[in-house]
Amino acid sequence: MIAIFVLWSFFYANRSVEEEQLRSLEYDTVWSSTNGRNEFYKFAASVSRYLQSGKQADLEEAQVKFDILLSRIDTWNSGSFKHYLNRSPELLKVNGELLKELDDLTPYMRSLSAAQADDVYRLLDSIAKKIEAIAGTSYLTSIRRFTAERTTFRDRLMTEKRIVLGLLILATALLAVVMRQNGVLTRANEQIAEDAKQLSYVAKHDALTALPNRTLLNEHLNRAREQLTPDEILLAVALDLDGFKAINDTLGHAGGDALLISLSRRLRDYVNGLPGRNLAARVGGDEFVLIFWYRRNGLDIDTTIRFLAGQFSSPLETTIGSLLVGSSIGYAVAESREEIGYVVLNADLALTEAKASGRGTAREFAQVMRTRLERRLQIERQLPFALRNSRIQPHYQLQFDMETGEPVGLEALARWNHSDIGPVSPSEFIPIAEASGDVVELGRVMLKSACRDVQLLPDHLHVAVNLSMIQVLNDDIPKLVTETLRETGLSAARLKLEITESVFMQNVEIVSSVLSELQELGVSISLDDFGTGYSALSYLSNFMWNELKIDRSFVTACEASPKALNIVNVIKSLADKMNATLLVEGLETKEQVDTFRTLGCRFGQGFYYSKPKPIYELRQIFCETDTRRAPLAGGNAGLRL
Amino acid sequence: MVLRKLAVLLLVSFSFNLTLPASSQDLEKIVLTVSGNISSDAPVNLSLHELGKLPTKEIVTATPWHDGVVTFEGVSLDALMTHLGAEGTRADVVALNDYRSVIPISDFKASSPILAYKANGRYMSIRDKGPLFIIYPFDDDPELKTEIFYSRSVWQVRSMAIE
Repeated sequence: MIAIFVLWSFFYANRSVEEEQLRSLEYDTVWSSTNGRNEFYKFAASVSRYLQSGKQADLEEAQVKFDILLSRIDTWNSGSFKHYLNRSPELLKVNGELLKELDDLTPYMRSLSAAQADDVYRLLDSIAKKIEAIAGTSYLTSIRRFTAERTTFRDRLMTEKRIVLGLLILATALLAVVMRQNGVLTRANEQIAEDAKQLSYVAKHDALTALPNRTLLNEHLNRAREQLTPDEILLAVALDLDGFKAINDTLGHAGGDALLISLSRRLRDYVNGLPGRNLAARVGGDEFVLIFWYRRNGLDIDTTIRFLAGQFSSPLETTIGSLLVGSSIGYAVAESREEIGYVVLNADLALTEAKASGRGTAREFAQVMRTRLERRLQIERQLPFALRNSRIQPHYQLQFDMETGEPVGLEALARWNHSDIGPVSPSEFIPIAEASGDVVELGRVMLKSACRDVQLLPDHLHVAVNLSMIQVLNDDIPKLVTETLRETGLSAARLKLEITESVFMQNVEIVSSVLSELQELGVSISLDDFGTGYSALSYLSNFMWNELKIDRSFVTACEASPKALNIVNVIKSLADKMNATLLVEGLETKEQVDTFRTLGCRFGQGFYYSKPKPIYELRQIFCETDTRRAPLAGGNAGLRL
Repeated sequence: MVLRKLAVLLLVSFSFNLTLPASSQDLEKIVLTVSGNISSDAPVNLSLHELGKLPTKEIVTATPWHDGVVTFEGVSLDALMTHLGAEGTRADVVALNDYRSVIPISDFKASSPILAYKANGRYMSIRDKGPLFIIYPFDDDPELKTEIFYSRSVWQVRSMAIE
């Protein structure tokens, strides 16, 4: 394309001004020769007139005409005409003869007389031939040149036409290519747009249920944060299925998936059926977040939640049949754009509390939940420091023989006195320690302290230390116990390890084998919190427990209902069969002590007897009683330490 | 060959000096008649002497009819028109050889031609295409080197009619 334009410009640039001028001179040559011929004939005519009239005026006229002719011939012998003549040897020869004859004529022109007429005419005839020759040739040359010029011009025109045609074809071809390319690009763009849409959909939707995922949920919340008007509110609902793991375990993942798909459809229909810019998103395995964005007086929150809970009261139709599933619900309301930032977090928090309160519960977020969470987080952060700096120390609660009222042992209970938030109860920090894994270190500290401390007390007292699930599964407990006993020098018989019913039930096989190993070391094993779980007694009887600890909840239950007493009887007979002793926790009154003693329970523990105390206090008490040689506690009266 | 040509040329040049204005009387001879739309009712006749009194102007240029560059001296046609009070669009110029050319008066301002009476410092004979020769400044403006301006470069000018 560019090459053609270069050629094009070259083509025109070639027609330079000089060439133009040269050609114009060419025409001038023809012009000059024609005029020269005319001038010659006029001169010849004036000579003829004079020769006939003999008048002086006619002579002068003829002389002027002669001068004019000579002037013309001078012109022919100079400038461009001379160049023209030089090109042709024949013309140059004719010109030479012409000059000579004009030279011959000159003397006659000074004093022309009739007598010389013949000579003059002969010369004029000859000169005429020469002038005709030059003028004629010039004309012919010009015509030839003109013809050639015209041919060139026509050729040039044809070339131009071809170039223009070529350019047109090229432009058309280019246009076609561009249009085709354009078409291809358009199609590609459409494809990309389609793909992007698809990708965007995939990125923002859950693959299984096709519900919006967390990304789209966040986008929706961001939009709400920018667009929520003062007369609108946003309700966030966090929803978690109850026992979904069990459903997955019993029906398999296909069953779980079918349930999720069916539930998702129901949730979407529910959400879309309500007015407002609502959204149901799946944010985890069985976790959903629903957003209701409506006018303040458009919808009642309580009604919304009640109807939402109602969605779980009828069975879901799934590909594997009808399924009924419960759900825990937490919800929070944002009344302004600022509150939208943490409305889902609040709903989650409410959900956590709802789940903690049991199945099928709905909880609205309350500020105290956040306070609790923050306290929990603070405890979680402080726990490792507290362990390192021995801020968590065992206190010991004595265990008594209810018949004799004599202390038989003590249970080590972790106590944490937090510098900022005061005493932290074990029921608060132990679950946190279990979640964070710090419980392993806590267990070691407690075991070692207990083994060491109990040796400061009389030899007949044993010490009970709690084992957590995490410890049993993650620590090599038999090894730890062996080493601790060796280091502290405590005899294995004085150590009792307690494990809760729930821990045992979660992993009967492993826990049983660990506990058996411990028993072989000579350590006693006690089942803690007995009666709180819903464990099968048959499982429990698989292991030879040394002691069953009846949970404090039984103590209060027996006061309220005589039926509970029957259960305690059953437990008593079970313990007897297993050759295990029974210990009752949480005894606070003499009546309680009497009740359980009457039922045949031998050992007891609780505030009625003694509060948990640090070892130095206990040691002091035992030292004093030793020196006074008096019994520690007296029979049924008991001793309040 | 060249020498011979030169000799012939010299011969031609020397053989004629018929109308060379050698005397003051020659300078007084009428060389130009201007008629038509001018301030004077009657045609104005001008001699070389009279033309010489007008402001002179020089053009140095090559022409198609001369060898080499020639210095022409004469009166600016524009000034001449002003001098004569000419009012018109065209000047009909006739030469001694009956050559005739019509020149637009606008040319006189636009291209500044002169009515030359001297070439290389000498008055021009008829043989030298004198006594008057309209000269355009060809070398100053290449655009002038075309047939149109060559045709307007009248030599042996005798009369002008302003229309």
